[in-house]
Amino acid sequence: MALDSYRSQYTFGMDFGTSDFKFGAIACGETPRVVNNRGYFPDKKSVMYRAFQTTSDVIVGQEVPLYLQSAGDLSARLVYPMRNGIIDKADENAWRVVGALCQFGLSSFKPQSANGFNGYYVVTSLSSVSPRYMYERLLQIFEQNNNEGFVRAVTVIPQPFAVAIGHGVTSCVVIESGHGNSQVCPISKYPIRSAQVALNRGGGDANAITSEILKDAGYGDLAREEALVRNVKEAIGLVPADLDSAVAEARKLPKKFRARYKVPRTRVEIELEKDSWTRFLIGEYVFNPNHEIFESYFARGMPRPKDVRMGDAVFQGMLDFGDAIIASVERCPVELQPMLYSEILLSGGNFSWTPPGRLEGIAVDAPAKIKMLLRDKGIRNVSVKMTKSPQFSVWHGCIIYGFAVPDEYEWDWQRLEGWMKLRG
Amino acid sequence: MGARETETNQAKQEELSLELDGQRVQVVILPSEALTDRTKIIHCIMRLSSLRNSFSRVYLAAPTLLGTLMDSEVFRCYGIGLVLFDERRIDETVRPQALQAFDTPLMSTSADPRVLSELASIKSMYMEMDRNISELREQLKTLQQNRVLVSRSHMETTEPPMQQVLLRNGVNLPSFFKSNPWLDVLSRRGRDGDEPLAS
Repeated sequence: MALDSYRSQYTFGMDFGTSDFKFGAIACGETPRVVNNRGYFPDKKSVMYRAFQTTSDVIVGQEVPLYLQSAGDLSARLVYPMRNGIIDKADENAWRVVGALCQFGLSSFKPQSANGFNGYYVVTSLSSVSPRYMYERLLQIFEQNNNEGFVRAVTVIPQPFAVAIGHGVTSCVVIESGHGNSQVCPISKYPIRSAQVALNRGGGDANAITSEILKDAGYGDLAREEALVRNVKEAIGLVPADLDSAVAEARKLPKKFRARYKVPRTRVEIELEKDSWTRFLIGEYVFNPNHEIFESYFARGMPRPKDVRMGDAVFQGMLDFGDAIIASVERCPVELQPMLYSEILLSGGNFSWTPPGRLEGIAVDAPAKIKMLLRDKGIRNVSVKMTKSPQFSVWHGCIIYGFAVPDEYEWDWQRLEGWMKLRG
Repeated sequence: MGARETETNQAKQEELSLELDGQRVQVVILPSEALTDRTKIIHCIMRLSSLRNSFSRVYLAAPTLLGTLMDSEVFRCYGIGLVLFDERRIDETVRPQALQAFDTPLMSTSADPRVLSELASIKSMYMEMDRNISELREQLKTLQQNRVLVSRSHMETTEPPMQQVLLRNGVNLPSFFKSNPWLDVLSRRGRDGDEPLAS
């Protein structure tokens, strides 16, 4: 294989995460650029819009906060296109935001024309449960917006596949867990699409239980602010090795498990001592919502994760991660299964749980919890790890894919892989 | 005190076998008339070398004139004694170095010289075999080195893995490229006939 020196300069990766859009050329090195995966549709009659004299219909990138006017704008004009990893076919605003982000990303890396630039090899990534129309629409966006010739060839790969590539493991199970949902995806040189399992449960559900906990602890006003709730979840949430034992221990020794969170640059402080045992509910709910302790929360109105169909996939609501992994692996060839269990990769912010040292053995991290869930179901000899770079592993995988896949490997709608050439 | 001739080898009239202080001593005599015969001199010296391991001490007895022709240090180096003689005197010019193994008293004067000779011969064969083995080892080493060179040059003409290409070209890529097996897997996409598992 001759080294493609062109692509060692002009490979470009784009990762459409649920919250962030990560993008950049191979020259970025280890870290891509990051902006929010959102767009703002300004009121063209507003003073701010006229003051900035912009002609864009949708604002993306670092400029978005400059245009935000009131809380009313947040719901009406600020669009997060990929909150659940899937864009509705008819959601034109969301697609316009995606298009604007693609343009923004590429124009941020406009090279000097004298350097022999003939367009980037662009690799974008989508959720593994993205239906075919998302691939069609995204590739169409690149085709129709290539007037400046930034794109020589483009392709789309599933995010878990990109994670496996970025992590450097050719046979594995990748579990991606983001804000709205989670996906279990076996990989063996290719994504094994028929074996994927999707869960209708993610970081947003952990936020929901945290909100209920704050309400019960007397912080009802604070419980309504989504960003605050998310920060509290990250600060005080714990994953128990065993929920019953952890709750019993915390009820016995509340001081030991006391949590305190001070909202930065305010006087607002949240403290859980008597109710410190509830910290374990936050982590447990993510991994296994089936414990009877959660029934009281469902009874009080907290939404129970339901089975939903999104696009071509059914997202299971109440399946715990252990059962989800087993269901996925057992759809693969038997001789491949041991290899898959021996490399389970966790990716996504929803797996970022760091137990305090003093609570070792009672609180665990995500890999340990997954191992315990599998062990309880009779699956041992598993290896579960976090991806090396949870925030950027998808982008890393996009860059490697773009660098290595031969130019003549053309896009195929059966395989959903290959290069779609836009320039000669 | 005093040496005693142990046996007379009629065939080797130019040698003396002695026993001195319980040790076996062999003297090889270089007669005067042999001084001009280089072959004879060499024969004498070679004979001494072959006897070195068979006797406690070995001497070369040669005319005094030999001492002016040769550096006696040579004999000292090899532990061979040198006795120079003329009509008037006999001088032990170089004392021989006794072989430890032979410092023990003789078991019996009835030791079969044929056995001893056989032993010497076996030892000589062993040393030759040892020399041959060393030579073979050297040849094998050379052969292996040549084989590595050949296979290396062969590799250079075939398609190396992607990693070697990157290293050879000094391409400076991010750390997540290093030792990543996907580089080779993906570089063969659409080329090696493997397809994804059927959906």
